Amino acid sequence: MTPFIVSFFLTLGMLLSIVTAVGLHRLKDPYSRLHATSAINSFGLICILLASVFYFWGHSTVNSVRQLLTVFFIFVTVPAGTHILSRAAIVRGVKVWKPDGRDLAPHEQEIVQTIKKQSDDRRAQRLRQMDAE
Amino acid sequence: MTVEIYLDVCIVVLTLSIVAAAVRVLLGPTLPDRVVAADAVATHVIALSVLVAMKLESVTLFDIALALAILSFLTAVVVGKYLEKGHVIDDTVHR
Repeated sequence: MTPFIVSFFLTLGMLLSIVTAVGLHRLKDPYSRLHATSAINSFGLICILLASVFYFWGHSTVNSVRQLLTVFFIFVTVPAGTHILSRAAIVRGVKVWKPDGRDLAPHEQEIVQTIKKQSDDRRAQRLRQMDAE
Repeated sequence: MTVEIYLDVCIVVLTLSIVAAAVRVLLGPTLPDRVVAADAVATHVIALSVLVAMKLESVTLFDIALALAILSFLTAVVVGKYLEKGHVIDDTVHR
């Protein structure tokens, strides 16, 4: 029974890895590429780690604490990293890709302006502080 | 026995995915593109180390996978902060 479970999880992980590789090349801007990499980042890696847990099922010398710890860590940290990277891309002014080259809708532009203004305010505040010191 | 052969196939597939992501690191038109692709390469390397650990039946490589997961998260945060503001540690928030 165990080989079937192991190969099921491995197949799922490999499919998500292929989805990542194809998505990195077919999608057009960093935001949608982040969407593609999140497949392997969270779920694919968790599938492969679960496959290794079942692979070592019944081994007395190998315990699966590390794998489960890694699963937990990935589950916690991947959303934070994705958020920070996409925010950095917005602040640097990377264009959002739209089909047939349309512009952003007004409410989307408003969001982008708000994020940029937040970042600029913080930078200005920091510069003032450095001057004061 | 068959699972061992399937493990080899999976290692080959993961390596090809790493090559594809590395091509995106080289091509990527903007800097965030490259960072996103490099993050994907790091995650693939973690998965590869887990697969090699299964193949060699060794415990040590799981430690390496955990350390690589922590390092790749730190890299993403630090590079993202640097791209956003030009410095990493922002101590103006709580004042």
